[in-house]
Amino acid sequence: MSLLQPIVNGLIVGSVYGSVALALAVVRRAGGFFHFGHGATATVGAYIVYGVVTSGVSQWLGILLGCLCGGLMGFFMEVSVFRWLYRWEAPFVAMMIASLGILVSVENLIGIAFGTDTKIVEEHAAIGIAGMLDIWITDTQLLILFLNCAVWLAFWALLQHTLFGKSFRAVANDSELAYALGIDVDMHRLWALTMSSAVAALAGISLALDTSLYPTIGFYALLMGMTGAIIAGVSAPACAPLGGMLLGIIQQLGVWKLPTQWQDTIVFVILIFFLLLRPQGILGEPVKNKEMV
Amino acid sequence: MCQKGRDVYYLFGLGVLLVTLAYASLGGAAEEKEPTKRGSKSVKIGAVLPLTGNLAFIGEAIRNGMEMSKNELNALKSKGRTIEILYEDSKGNAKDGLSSIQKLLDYDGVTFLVVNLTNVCLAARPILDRKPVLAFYLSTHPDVLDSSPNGFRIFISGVQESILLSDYARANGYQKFTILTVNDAYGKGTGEYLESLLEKSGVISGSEEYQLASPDFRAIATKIKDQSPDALVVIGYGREYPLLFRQLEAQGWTGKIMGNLSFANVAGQAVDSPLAARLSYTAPGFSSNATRLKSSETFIEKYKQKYGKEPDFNAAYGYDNVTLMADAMTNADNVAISQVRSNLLKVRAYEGAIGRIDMAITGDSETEMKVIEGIQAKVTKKRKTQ
Repeated sequence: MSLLQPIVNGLIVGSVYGSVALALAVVRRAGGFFHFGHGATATVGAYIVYGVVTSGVSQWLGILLGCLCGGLMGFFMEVSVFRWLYRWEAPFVAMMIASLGILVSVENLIGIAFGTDTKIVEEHAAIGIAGMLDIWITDTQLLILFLNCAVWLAFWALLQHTLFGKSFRAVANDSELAYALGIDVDMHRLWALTMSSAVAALAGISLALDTSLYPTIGFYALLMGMTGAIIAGVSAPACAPLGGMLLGIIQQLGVWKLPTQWQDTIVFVILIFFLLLRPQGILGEPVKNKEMV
Repeated sequence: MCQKGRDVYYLFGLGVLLVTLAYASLGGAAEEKEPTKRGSKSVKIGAVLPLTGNLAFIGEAIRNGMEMSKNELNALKSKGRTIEILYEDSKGNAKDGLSSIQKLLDYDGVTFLVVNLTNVCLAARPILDRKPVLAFYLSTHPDVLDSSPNGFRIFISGVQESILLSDYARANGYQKFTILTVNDAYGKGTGEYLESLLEKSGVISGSEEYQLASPDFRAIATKIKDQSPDALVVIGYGREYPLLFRQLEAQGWTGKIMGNLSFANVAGQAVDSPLAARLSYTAPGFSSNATRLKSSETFIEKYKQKYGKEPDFNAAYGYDNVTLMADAMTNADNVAISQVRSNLLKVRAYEGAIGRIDMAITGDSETEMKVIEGIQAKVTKKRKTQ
């Protein structure tokens, strides 16, 4: 078998994992915890695009609406839950549990509203199949690859080359010092959660358009994204997508010789490997004071 | 009152409590056993089906069929008996299925059980074999009955399907196969038996498994394309096939697909892939207009009137299981399970909703089956292929 096809497959799924990894790493840096609620946002994004496309409206509108609703979800999560937890100086574990609660609640609500069965976005735009060098990729997959990579680049530019990015990094490094310097920490956290939620929604939308959707789709994306973020290093949000991409490629190449049901096992073996041997990830800073990931 | 007097009162009170409890439990037991007595008014049938989760579509269809049969039988009130069906949700897994079966046996006192899904059936059979009940297994697994003393299968047999498919493959000159099965007892059981038959006339170029409701077949599709089999053989549940087809097509694979009755689950919906036209699958005569009996036509009409949609083969089997069970009770003086079993074993050339059913001495039945070629593809948008 040509190695190129699994690599291309890996790039496509990796682009989705990369977006979730980016969203997780942004909140991890700004807020200090892994925000499981991104799984809920991804699920909502997936069901919005499903609803819009199956009702005959444009796929583009579905993508836009899904990302917008994802961003709004993040906004409301921040102002209604996490801002209060920050003010009460709740431990990060409490925030993580709160975000897990949001994920479980949203998944259950979606299960009640839409049913728990697997759905497919059937009426999506024409599938163009391009066969070159015996590599096959649909135009939906190309679109997914393009959109996710464009979002990463935009985020990278935002974090590295803007004033917002500079102050965001200041908040991420030491929020108390940033506050003392006059930076509006709450506002930065609000923007971090809102924008990262829109990215998580894009990941859910991508999965829905390319494969299928079901109420726990966000949890699956979350697991993969978290592993990707750990591989790249959560201390470097702009690099987190590369971890997701690498994970996607390893996952697809791994089943080249192994039976396909080992696909997810490969991911978790990699996760354990990094947690034990390089918890700071490939591009992250070394772990200090026994602080894990 | 002195201490001794109080002790006597306490002992008397305790005695009354124990007698009351003993009476209540005996009375309860007598009430539970009532359906099996001569002239009893209601016979309870327990049904353990997947009513929620990814396989709920199967459970729902079977329940609809069973309900139709129950309503018709109760309207007739044959021998003054009515039928009551108690449904329990297995959620598609053996653990919940077994809990439901225990509840039906211990608390509801059912003596007739309909159990669906191979993993639930295989887990329940050793328990049910030791109980004074008649169990009807809706599973295709080759070993689901395995000399069960009180088990029946009025359903499709995986052995029958596998023989049909291997004969079909030989007749069409297919020699190289990739087998793709769902990773559970049903997929493994039927898949392994079919593989053993296909190996006699060809080679197995690959064997892959997937999780139920797998969200992505991309890696599997890449491997199938690389193996380039004459035919891909798929044993699953049906709802996952549109995604499988789409991803096979996206990888540029254009081979033949062979499958079992699960394809009949999606045959009602047009499958949005040209691959659907290159499909061959086994199905009961019920699934084809050309081979349908009059009894099946009548069932379909009644079902459409009641539920407003076409029934699938699961609904027909649900209907036939209850009807045959009730017939066996009607022909018996009482509903003692030995007599009902004996009557069921005499069923020959029965024209049911599913078609003609013949019961073997093992408790297994044979339904008329055939290989259906192709599902009409629904191409929603014009595809361009370079």
